[in-house]
Parts: sequence; structure tokens; C-alpha cells
Amino acid sequence: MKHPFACRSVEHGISRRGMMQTLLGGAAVGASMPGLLEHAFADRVKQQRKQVLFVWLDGAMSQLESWDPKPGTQFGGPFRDIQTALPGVRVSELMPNMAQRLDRFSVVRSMHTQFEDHSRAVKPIQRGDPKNRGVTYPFFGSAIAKLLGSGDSGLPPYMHIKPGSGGFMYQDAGFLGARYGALALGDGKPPANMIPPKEITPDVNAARLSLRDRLNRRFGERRIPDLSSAYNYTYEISQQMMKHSDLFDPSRLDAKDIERYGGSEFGQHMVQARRLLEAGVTFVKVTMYRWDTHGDNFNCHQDGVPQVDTALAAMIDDLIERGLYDHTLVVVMSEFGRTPRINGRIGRDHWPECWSMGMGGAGIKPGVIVGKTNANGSFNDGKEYDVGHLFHTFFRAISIDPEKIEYDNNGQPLPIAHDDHHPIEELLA
Amino acid sequence: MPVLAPTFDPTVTKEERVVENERQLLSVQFSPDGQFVFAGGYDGRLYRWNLAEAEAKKDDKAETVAEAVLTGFDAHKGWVEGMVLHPDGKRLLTADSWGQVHCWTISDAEMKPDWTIEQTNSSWLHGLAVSPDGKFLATCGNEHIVRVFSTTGGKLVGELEGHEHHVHSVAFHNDGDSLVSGDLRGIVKHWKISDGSLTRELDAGKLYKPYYQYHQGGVRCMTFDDNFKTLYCAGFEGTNANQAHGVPTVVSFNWETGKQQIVMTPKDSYAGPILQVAYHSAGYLIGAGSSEAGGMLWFWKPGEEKESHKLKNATSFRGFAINADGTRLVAATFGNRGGQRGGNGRRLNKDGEYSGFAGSMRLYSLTEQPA
Repeated sequence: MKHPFACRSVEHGISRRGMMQTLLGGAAVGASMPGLLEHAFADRVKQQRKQVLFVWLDGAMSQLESWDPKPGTQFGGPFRDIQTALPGVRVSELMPNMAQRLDRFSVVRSMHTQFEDHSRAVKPIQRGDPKNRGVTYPFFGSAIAKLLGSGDSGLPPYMHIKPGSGGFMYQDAGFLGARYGALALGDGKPPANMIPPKEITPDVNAARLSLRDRLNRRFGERRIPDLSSAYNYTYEISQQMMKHSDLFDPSRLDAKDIERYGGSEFGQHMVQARRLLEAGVTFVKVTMYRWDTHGDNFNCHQDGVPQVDTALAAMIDDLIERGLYDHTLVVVMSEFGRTPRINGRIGRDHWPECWSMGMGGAGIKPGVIVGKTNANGSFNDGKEYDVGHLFHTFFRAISIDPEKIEYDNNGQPLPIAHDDHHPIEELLA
Repeated sequence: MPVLAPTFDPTVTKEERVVENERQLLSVQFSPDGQFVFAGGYDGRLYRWNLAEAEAKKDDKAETVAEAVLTGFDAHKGWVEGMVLHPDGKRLLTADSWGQVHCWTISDAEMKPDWTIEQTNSSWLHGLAVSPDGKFLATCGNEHIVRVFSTTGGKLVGELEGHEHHVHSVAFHNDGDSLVSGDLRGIVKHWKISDGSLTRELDAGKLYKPYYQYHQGGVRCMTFDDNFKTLYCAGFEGTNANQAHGVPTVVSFNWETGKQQIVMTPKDSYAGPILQVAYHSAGYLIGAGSSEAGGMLWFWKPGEEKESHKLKNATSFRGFAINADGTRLVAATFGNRGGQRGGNGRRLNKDGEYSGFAGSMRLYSLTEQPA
């Protein structure tokens, strides 16, 4: 019996127009239809396989204490700036390591977005803030999970290392369907009970899985496929992850690596992120909390920015050394910036008017500083960019053309990035 | 040490006079004769408030720069974080967040530095102190090193290394050879100046709390009582937030034994750090706090956990100073000014401009006024 739910299968989430382009962009969708791929082509896709590291500084890092300092001006704060590897370009003294690597990374200093509070900004920004079409758009990671798939890593395409609790964050996927959600490693740890008890031998485990599979199929026949598919997917993924349990064991992390990444919890998470990228995970998100500095902004940034600086610089070095940087897009951003005005708590509030973010690696021209702010950093001076421009740039950088590829939401064609925006061409290699 | 005014009573503390400033102010000192008040700003400038001249205008409580009682001098490039009087009563020492120290002659109308140390600390300088005998000054900051300099010319005489975290505050004991420094994790180190050795550590961990990859708190300020038997370390007790939104807290130590004596906090739910403490010789510890609710001065009696009196201000307090005879207190403040709204996003003033917050010096009487 065919159920009406079937047409909502997540497998149909790419439009006909975009199918071929998507296949060009990644192996995962191709993997569901392997007959479309010749071996040589598949190899080429594999060779060109793109990955993404998305560092999310939740709460909003100050542009003035990082990428766009204005020392000695009204809003400059207590810190100095320092020279970078790019002549005439200076960043905060809190970023000495990235200053030396700015010829390998790029910065947009003229962001201008639409939301000034977290509740309205965090999700839309991570979705690229597309036009409202009555659906919930996927977060960047879910979009990439859909568009590029898992590759042949056997690992989830979208993994998220974050402080606090973990689990499967299906909400990230929006209309794509729950299976494109993020598998979150809370505090870098694997989901609870991932490793079976010793009493469960491989034979016993195989029998359990077989029984579970039969029961699931019967259960799923009369249920909404999206949900049952997601359940099955997470279970399958967990089985795959058991085979890679060493990736989730903090004791396996090299102590020297952790030290090179700054020795902080965030640094450790970045080392783990690098290992996930090395293992082939398509999209790795690392979240760092603590940035909502309405009070004590400068001590908070003095503590936090060097953590980001050290770990990001070490990450770039390692990706270059391993030959991964050319096909790994690295993005570092927040939901907005922080006010130039220093408030009565020695803090900075939320500021979407002008802020900075950084990106590098796959498809990104290195050493580019896009845009500028006025003398005291209060507003953009010249052309400014919204997050829609960023998403166009991200997609293009990893060989996904938003002009040619769109989502198919049950027959509803949906652009993958804001219709009215375009890539920041000067950033594209 | 200031001489106790016979009628000192914190409950009669009242604001006498205010001078507004375009930019936020951090540090402040009286001249020994009480004629001037000096303040340092976010703009790196040193301000001199001619209090004697202001006194002649007793009918005007609020004053402005235009009234020429406030003179600004280009002094530093970074924030003027530290300002201390030399015990000789003739010199003033200032330090900025970029690590520069100036020594000034108070009587110099032009306010030209006598000497300068261009670079005491390579990262954010937080603290400046001068020894009671006037021989040394010390600086500390995020570099984890406490540096000691001669006050005759600013020559480096010692580096005290051992902190593993940002050093927020420094103070000299009057034994001639002891210095204490307090860091982000609430570790207070007692150093021997003569050989740079570490004598002991005191635990003010009450003033530190990690929260989601954020190390919050620290010994933001410290002071000894007037007979140097008690050390007071202050800051805030962290909460599950990352905005210095915790309980203002003072931890006191018996200097001889190193044992923690008492934790002092406000009676109410005020949330924010204590940014300066000073001991009044009448037997009160005074702390100044900043929060979104405004500034607060608390007056604690030694040995008592809660303050005996407090004084609120609409804008936050940063630094404060007590004059030589203990009859007056002047505080540096920062915060919004008329018509200027703070908060998220594009908040413009009544003229449609995006402006910064301002500062003020607020002069308080600590004694009952004669009839």
C-alpha cells in the first residue's frame, strides 16, 4: 500500500533542476543513486569533496576586540591593535596568531544584518535569513548535509561539538526533515550509551539489530516516513559511530595538539573537530558560548578572543599541513556584533549595524579584507553585506551554485540562499 | 593615612558637587591639599578639577567643562586605569591600559610628565600601586607578571613571575618588603620584593567562577586596613551568567596568619563587580560598584558581613579616593547621560546622533556639615 506520506520522503528534497548540479557537488546524493555515477566521475567527485568547519561564537563576539579594532578612538576600548601579515591591515592585539596568518584567511568587516536580539537572530543568521516562504529553512550544517551528504566516511554529515548537553538536534534541519539534523557531542563526548556493554557480543548485537530492523520496518509502514526515517537514521548512524569510537574518546586526543590549540576547552573541541574533518565528516560545527558581554566586555574578550585566536590559527596550520585547507571551508562568525558604545557596565550590547566575520580555505581567496567601517567603528563606510550574501559566498566556495540548485519541498521550489543577494565576488578564488 | 574626622558618619554622606565630563572616567585622586581632583578617562586624558575654584561657586552644584574649573591634558593613549599619589605628596602617578606610566608633579600648572615608563606591561595593564615608603611602584596586567619600578625615574627593579592568569590588582604592605597581587582565579600571591621570591598564597577563590568556557571574576581590587593587619580583596562572586552579574563580594584575610576572616556582601540583590575598595581610618571599608542599576558605595565595618550604609548613584562607579583628612570622597563614574539611551542596536540621542556614554566626578561629604 502506498501512503500519501511517501511523497514527503527526504529523498525527494532536491529538485530535478538541481539534481545533476548537486551530484557534481557531492557524493552522498549520488550514493543513493549510484547508477548515475561512472567510476571516474565518482572518483573526481571524491577528490573534489568539500568539507566545512563552522565556528559559531554564540552570543556575539565584539568586532572591535577582534577583526576591526579602533584603538584610541571614542569606542576603541582598552586594547591596542597590531600589524598583520597583510600590509596596512591591523587587528586587535588579542589575535596575534591570526594576525600572522591573515594572508591565509579573509575577513568581512562590513556585515549589516537585520536582527538585534538573540532570539530573533541566532536561527535566521544560521539559516542565511532567506525570504519568508512559510517554511522553516535548515541551518547551514543541515543544508550542507543535504547538499553534500556523508561521503564515504560512514559518519554523520553534520556533527556539532558544543559545551553542555549533546544529542540529535533535529530542529536544525527545518523542512529538510529530521535526518539532516546535527549530531551534537555535548562537551565533546559521544551520545550516552554509544558503546555497548561487554555482555553484548558482536553476535548478540547482530541479532538485536536484525530484530530491531524488522520491527522498525513494520512500525514505519504506517507512520510518517520523515520521523521513522530519522529514528532509523540516527540508529544507523550510532552503529557507524561505534566503529569510530576512538574519535569520541577525549583521552585519545594528543596532549601536544591540545596545548597547541590553547589548552582551553574550546581548543580541545577544535582538536576534536579537526579529527572529525580528517575522518571525513562533511560539516563540523564548533560552538563556543560566553560571548554575550553586556557587562565586563573587555575582561570577557581578553579571556575569550585568545582562545579563538590560538585554536583557529592552529587549525589553519593543521589543515594546510594535511592538505585539507584547499577543500575545507572555514567560517568563524556570530549572530551579530557588539555596540561601539561602551555601556554603564563596561559592556557592549548587540550591534547588527556593522560587524565582522572571517572565512578561509576552500574556494576563498586568502588575504582579502572586505569592506570598512568609519573612523570610530560605529557604522559601515561604503558597501555592506547581509548574511544572505555570506550564504551565497559559502555555497559558491564549495562548488554549490545557488543560482542553479534549489530545494524541492514537496514540489515547492525553494532557493538555497536569499534570492536578492549574491556572493561577495572579491572573496571567491 | 587620613586623619579621622571626629564627626565621620557614613549615614550623613551626601553629594556636594558634580562635574560632568564628555567621556567616561575611571581613576581619580585628590591632591594632598584637597585643592584639586585629578581624574583619568577612557580617552587617555588627565583631568584636573580645580576644587578650590569650584568652592567659590557654592551656588552652582553642577559644573561643566565650559566653566573652566576642569582642565584636560593629553596624557595617555589607552584608558587611564591607575592613578596613585606618591607618599611625598608632590607627585602623581598614572598608568594606562597600554602599559604606559607617567609621573607628574602636582603643582605643575602645565602638567608635563617628569618621567615616563613607555611600556610596563605588554598587555592590558590593570593595576598600579606605590609603596608606603615611596621607593617603588608596581604594575600588573594580563601578562601574568608583576613588575616593580623605582619611583625615581621609573627604572625596572624587579619582575615577579608566577601567576598563571591575568593579574588584576596589586598592593604594597608597609613592612618595606612585601607586595601582594591578585589574579583572575582568585589567587593572591604574597611576594618578597627584595629577592622576588614568593612568600605564600592566599585563596580568594570566592571571587572566581568558571562558566561555559568563561573565567569570570578575579581579585579586581585590594587594599589593606590602616594598620596593615587585614587585607581586603574584592570583586564579585560569579553566577551562571557571563556579564559580571554576580554578587559584589569582599574577602578579608588576617595578614599575619593568612587565614580568611570574613566575606562581606551587600544586604540587597545588587549585581555587579566591586571595582575599587579603600579603607577609611574611621574604621570603615568602602567599596564602589557598577551595575546596570547604577553605581553603589557600600560602607562596611570590619568584622561585619553586611554593610552599615550604602549610597546609590544613577551611573556606575569606577574609582574613588578619600581626601587627606578623611572628610571627603570623590568618585569617577561612567554611564549614560541625558537623552542618550543604551542597549541593543541603533540607539540615537535626541539629536539623532550615535554618541558614547559620559563620565563625571562626584564629590561627597563624609562628615556632618557644621551648622
